[in-house]
Amino acid sequence: MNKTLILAFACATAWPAAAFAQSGGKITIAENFPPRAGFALETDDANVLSKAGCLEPLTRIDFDGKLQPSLAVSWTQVSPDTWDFKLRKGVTFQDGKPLTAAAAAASLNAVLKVPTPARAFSPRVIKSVEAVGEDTIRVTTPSPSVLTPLRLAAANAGILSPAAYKDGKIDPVGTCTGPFVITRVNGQQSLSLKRNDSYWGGKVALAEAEIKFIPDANVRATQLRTGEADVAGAVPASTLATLKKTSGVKVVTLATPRTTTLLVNVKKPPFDNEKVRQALQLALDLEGIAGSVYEGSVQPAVGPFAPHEPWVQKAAKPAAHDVKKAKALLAEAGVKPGSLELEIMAYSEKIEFKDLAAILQDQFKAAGINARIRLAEYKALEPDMIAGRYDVALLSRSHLVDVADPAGFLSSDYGCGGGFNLTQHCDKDFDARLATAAAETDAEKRYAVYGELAQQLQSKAVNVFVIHEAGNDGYKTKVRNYRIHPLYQYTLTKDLAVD
Amino acid sequence: MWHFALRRGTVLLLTLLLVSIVAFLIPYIGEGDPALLVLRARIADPNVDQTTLEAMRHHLGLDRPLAVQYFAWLGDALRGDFGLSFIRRAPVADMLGGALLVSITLALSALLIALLVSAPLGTLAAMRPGGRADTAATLLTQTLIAVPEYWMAPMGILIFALWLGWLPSAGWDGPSSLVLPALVLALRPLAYFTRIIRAAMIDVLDAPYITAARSRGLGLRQTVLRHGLRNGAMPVITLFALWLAGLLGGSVVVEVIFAIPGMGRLIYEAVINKDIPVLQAGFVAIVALAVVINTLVDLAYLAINPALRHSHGA
Amino acid sequence: MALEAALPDAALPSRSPQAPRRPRFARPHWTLVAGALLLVLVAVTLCLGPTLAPYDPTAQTLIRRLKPPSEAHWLGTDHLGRDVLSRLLVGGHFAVIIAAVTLTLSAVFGTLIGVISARRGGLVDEIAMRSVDLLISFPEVVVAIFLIALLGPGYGTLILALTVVGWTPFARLARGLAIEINAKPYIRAAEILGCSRRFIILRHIIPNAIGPISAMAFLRFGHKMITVGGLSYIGLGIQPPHADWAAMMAEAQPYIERAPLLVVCPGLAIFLTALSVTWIGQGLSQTGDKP
Repeated sequence: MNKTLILAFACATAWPAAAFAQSGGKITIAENFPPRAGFALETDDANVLSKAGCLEPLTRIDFDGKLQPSLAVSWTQVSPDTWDFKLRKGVTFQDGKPLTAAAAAASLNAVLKVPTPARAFSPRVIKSVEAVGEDTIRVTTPSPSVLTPLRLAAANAGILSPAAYKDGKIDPVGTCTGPFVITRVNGQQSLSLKRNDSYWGGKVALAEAEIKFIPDANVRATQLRTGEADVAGAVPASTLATLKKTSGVKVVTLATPRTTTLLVNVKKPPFDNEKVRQALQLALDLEGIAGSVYEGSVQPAVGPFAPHEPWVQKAAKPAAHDVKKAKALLAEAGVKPGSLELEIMAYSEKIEFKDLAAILQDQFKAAGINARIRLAEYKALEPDMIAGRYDVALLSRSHLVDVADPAGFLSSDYGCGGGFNLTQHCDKDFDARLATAAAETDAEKRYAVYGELAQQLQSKAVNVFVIHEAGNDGYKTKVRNYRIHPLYQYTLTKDLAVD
Repeated sequence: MWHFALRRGTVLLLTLLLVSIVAFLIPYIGEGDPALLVLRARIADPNVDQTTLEAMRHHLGLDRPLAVQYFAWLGDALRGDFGLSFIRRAPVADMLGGALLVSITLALSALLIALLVSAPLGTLAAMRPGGRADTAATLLTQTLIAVPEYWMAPMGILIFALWLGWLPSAGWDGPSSLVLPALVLALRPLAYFTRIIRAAMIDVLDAPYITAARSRGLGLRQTVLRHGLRNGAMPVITLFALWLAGLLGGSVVVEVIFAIPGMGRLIYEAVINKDIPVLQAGFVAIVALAVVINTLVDLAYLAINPALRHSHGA
Repeated sequence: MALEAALPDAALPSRSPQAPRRPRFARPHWTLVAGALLLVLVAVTLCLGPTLAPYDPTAQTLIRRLKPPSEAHWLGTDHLGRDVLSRLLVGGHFAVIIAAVTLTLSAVFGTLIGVISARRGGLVDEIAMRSVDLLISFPEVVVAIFLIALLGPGYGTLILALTVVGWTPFARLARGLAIEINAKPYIRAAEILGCSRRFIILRHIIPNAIGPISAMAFLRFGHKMITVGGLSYIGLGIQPPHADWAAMMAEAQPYIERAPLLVVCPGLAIFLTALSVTWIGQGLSQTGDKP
């Protein structure tokens, strides 16, 4: 009798405990960028879906920056310009349809063939995608490349079920493969998700999630403090001190491969004169900037790459702050003091840019340069920046964005004809050295070349590199297993949990 | 009555037409080629070749005469098609609809709060002009008129969201998001409503028919309610309508502070980002609504009180 | 009273004939005096601000940011190391000047239209009042934002935007007053004597209208100033690096808990300025009433 009672009692308590352990809880995340283009995968909306734990590509960059299998289990280079990816078996889309080579190829071709393809996945870098048999995807590039598996890790190359593509629009509700299923899209305000019970990667810890889109970084930080959000992405440096003191809240910082850069339009006089650009560089007090707007949470820039990265020369150091020399250089270049007028473009998505632009304006004034500020959303400024219709512009640029090797960045941003060469820099010698590096199989040697090229950019002041950024996210202590992804590609993962 | 309605109606239509013409001309007034603007916004390519530009110009119908373009635009607009936003790939009409609903909810809530507080306050002040209640009410209204909403809003967030945690600090999900912004927006109309109700009530209470009613034995409260309300209602209704129209776009600062997806914020973002289709549609929508609301109110109380028709100027 | 004049005649509460006549030069209301004193203080600050300011309001010293009040900086420094007191002393120009110019232009233009419309009557009156009926309902903030989109932010744009809509309540008030005065016997006498229409307008109508018109202008000043400040707050007003009270409040928002003075001081400045002018308007309209 007693044994039965004990057993019954044990079962009675174990069952709700098990049920609770299975429930998983709900998390609310305050994010920056809302889906603006109807989830078109060739836009940044692909990243929104990826961070939401919905969209998955064939390969992925993990939280340590290493390439890992995702929907593809293995890949081989069958010829210098062709790679075969073997799909994982047994994966189903959230609507129940199986992941086949045909479905994957259809997805990739859809995003490849749009009128305005993504920079990371466009006909410029990918020639063709085709299904070979039931479970192989063959990807061909216009020229031989070792970077193809890295390219397939981009969010733009995410795979959706055929049911997602309806009359030229994308429906991500129930058509992804990831650990979370979108249940509701509330315009640009929020996204509601629930656990994917048939996720190929195993058990998903959280039961529900809500992502709130709040473009104002200060409001995100406030929501963390009031409890309206459990996680706040990209909190401003000015809130770090307060957040660290708040009980129940933790702040995690990650040195990201991003450098805040003041792009200079080197084709527009007088910025085509190296002395003028160097004067701009010398006019800035990078230490002061790092200490004020960023409250000491970042380092002054030594070039496009940060000191801790493997492709930076040991001797690299930040540009000096010398207003006298700046004025002298301007005089040498034939610019009369007070006569140089320029417009600083800054986009509002980066909350520090507003103050940064004000500081630049003030520091330029000390060197006799009069600056105006134009503050707007990135999408509004991008056309002018791309068309070369600007003087100087602030840009937060990751050098590992399209592909996890800085060669991609150096060629797209500084190579003649590069896809994102906003500064309009063109130097045949630079391109030649970069090409030899790309063919070099020895990583050490390759990195050395990158280091030299970076140093050249810094000393010639092609752009003015301001600071190396750090990502700061805040989260409640009840949140478990939260990490910042180095490329900001994943937030909701199967291991993310709340107590 | 109908004569008046016809006159007002005609002028209303003329104004809307004028507003639509102004809105239509925006891309042509500023510098730059509208076809280039659209092209730049859709295709992020440094080199815009002439053939693409010409094709875009033809596609947008920009090679037709201006008047033809205007009527085509007007036709589309009347059917609810305002084109696509430059910054987002969504149809402007959808963006507008959602934002309008939000702003109307916010404005109505704020004004109702204002009315509910100002009615008793104003009446109380009117019953004894110069008395304690009156002085208090006057001081309150003067203070409220002078306090900016961009002071009250952050204060409200600090106190009610951060320190007390009673209300959400931002966003628009659920009724609790309405409370703080509506309260902040209600403060200035409260001041104006109180003053006008007080003035109306003073005159009403002085009027001979009130004395007559009271001499017939009706109590003060009954008198006020039965006669005073009807007379005092009219200036309040007009002011209410004026404020409602004004708040539809004028609540922009509160909407920005509280991250509320309303009309004000929509137009504000359209200005910053040079999102012309949204700017055009937003301008037309808000002005049209404002004018329609006020015309309707004018017509309504003229219908209510025929005696006033004759005293209405000219 | 001035406020009610913003409404169409039909909406005015009917005045009972027993309402007492107001004496002309009675003892000024206390609000008038208090308001005037405060306004003088504000005006002095605005005019002498640039000379009184201890530091250049736009000079940044990044090392000394967010410092509390001290000997060197009486009100502390802001997040870019600029002296708060100096910025406060020059920060009122934008909003105050725009509000003042707008209201003056609106009052003058509106009064002229209203008075002429009342004297002439007929079609002129009809057209003028219909325009007023419609323009008065335009939301001025939206018109301002729209013009800023076309012409860029700045003094001229805002003055234009706010005047285009702002003259209408003055026209209504002036017309109402003119009609009231027109009915007076001495106007009839003047007409019979052969005085020209312009003479009657200038000599009789306008002097009698000035009181309520100026009261209305003063009463609307606070609202205008705060509206302009609102536009500055969201970045559509004066551009950096110039100081502006509302813009200062917006920039200091993230630091409100660390350095509350950065938000409180400009807010107080706006409040006191608006209050002083409102008091003057209140006093003007109540002068002669029982205190």
